[in-house]
Amino acid sequence: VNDTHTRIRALLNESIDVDLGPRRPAPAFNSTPPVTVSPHRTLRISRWVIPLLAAASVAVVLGGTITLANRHGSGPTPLPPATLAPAPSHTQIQPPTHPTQGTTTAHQTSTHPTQSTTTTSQTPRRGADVLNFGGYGPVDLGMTAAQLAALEPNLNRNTFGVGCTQFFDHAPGQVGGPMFNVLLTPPTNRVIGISVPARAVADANIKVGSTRGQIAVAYPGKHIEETNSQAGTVVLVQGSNSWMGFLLDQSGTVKSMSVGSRAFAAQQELCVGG
Amino acid sequence: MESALSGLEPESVSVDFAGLYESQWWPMLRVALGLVDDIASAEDVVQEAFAALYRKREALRDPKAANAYLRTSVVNRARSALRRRRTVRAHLSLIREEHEPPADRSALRSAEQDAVRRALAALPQRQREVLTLRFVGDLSDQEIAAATGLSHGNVRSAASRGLATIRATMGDQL
Repeated sequence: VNDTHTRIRALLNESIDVDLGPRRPAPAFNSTPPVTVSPHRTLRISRWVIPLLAAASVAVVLGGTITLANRHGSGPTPLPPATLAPAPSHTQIQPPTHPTQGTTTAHQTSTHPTQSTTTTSQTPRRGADVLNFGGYGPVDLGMTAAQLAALEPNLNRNTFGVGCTQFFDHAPGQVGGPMFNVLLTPPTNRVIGISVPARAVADANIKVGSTRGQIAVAYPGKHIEETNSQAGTVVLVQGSNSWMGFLLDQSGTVKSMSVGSRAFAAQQELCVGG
Repeated sequence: MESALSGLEPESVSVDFAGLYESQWWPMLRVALGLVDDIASAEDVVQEAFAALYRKREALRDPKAANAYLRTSVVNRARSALRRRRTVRAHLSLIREEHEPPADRSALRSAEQDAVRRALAALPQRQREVLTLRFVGDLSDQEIAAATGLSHGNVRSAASRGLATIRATMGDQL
């Protein structure tokens, strides 16, 4: 047994030596976390950046709201609740890029109400195309296959892996790009992950084409991680019981979005072959 | 050779930290690579661990304690890196984007070297950590327990199970 252990130890160390090559001196030390992103590295966003951006955004939104109110002659009369929601706009962060969107922010927000602006029992918890930490439209994380089938009877269904089920609305062979996929895994056979179509709008108006800066502003106080992959940069925003994922293209704008439960990563590994 | 710490203000860096960084960066990188498998992630893990230690440098009194802090920090940050990687992989899978694993140097390894790394990577995380710290970090069970947060008994148990699995996986290659 000792010989075997010695052999394993030797092979392990040799393999690491092969990977790393000859010993090299420590690189110049940088006391701040790394900010350069190379493939498979992470970009850490300073904990101060998000609150500052959020505060600036709220201030600009409130300023813009007041300006909009004055423009429409509403004077001191309060605006409807939906237009008062502090939804950061695209152009308030990067005005030159999308010059027409700045004035439509309030309308977009009211079209796709977030949970905080949904107050009546007749209004869905989420808008039909709204993505948040709980799910997408009427589809909740944790929903059973039967509940999902009742809600979305026209979806295609596929089973694969070790008892995984996928509901989807696209061509079976389609890969990449925004698409509606709902993944359910055993043993409970409940929804653990949802990717959303291009029309979807995430909390605070994040959608396909939004920038990483807008994501940071949209989720103040949330833990945000970026990881580069072959497919692009993935921004993960941690909620209390789930993650929202945003895949960015090379220009740094959102290409597709998804939400997954805390158990998503581990459970999804049951679905190899999907 | 210019010191790796030359960019910092001399008075802000203790001698202990400088020496520790110069002497321990490479051993920590080797351990981190055993834990996360790709060099870029391992370098990030080690950089983060030293940056965290640097922020606590005023409290550096005992080099052994500093080493222990570094080891724990590397283990914890490697866990975070792996968790993040799994989550990213899951999200990419959901949107049916290709996600190739990080480039490795497996082609340069011998078949036996590659087999032992693959067997190690396939172990449950706890067993992988224990065996990496024991074989690559040359740590005692007591030091491994401190670095991983496991009890002494759990360290021994994880090592035993991990080794049994590797032996079974590698078979005649050992």
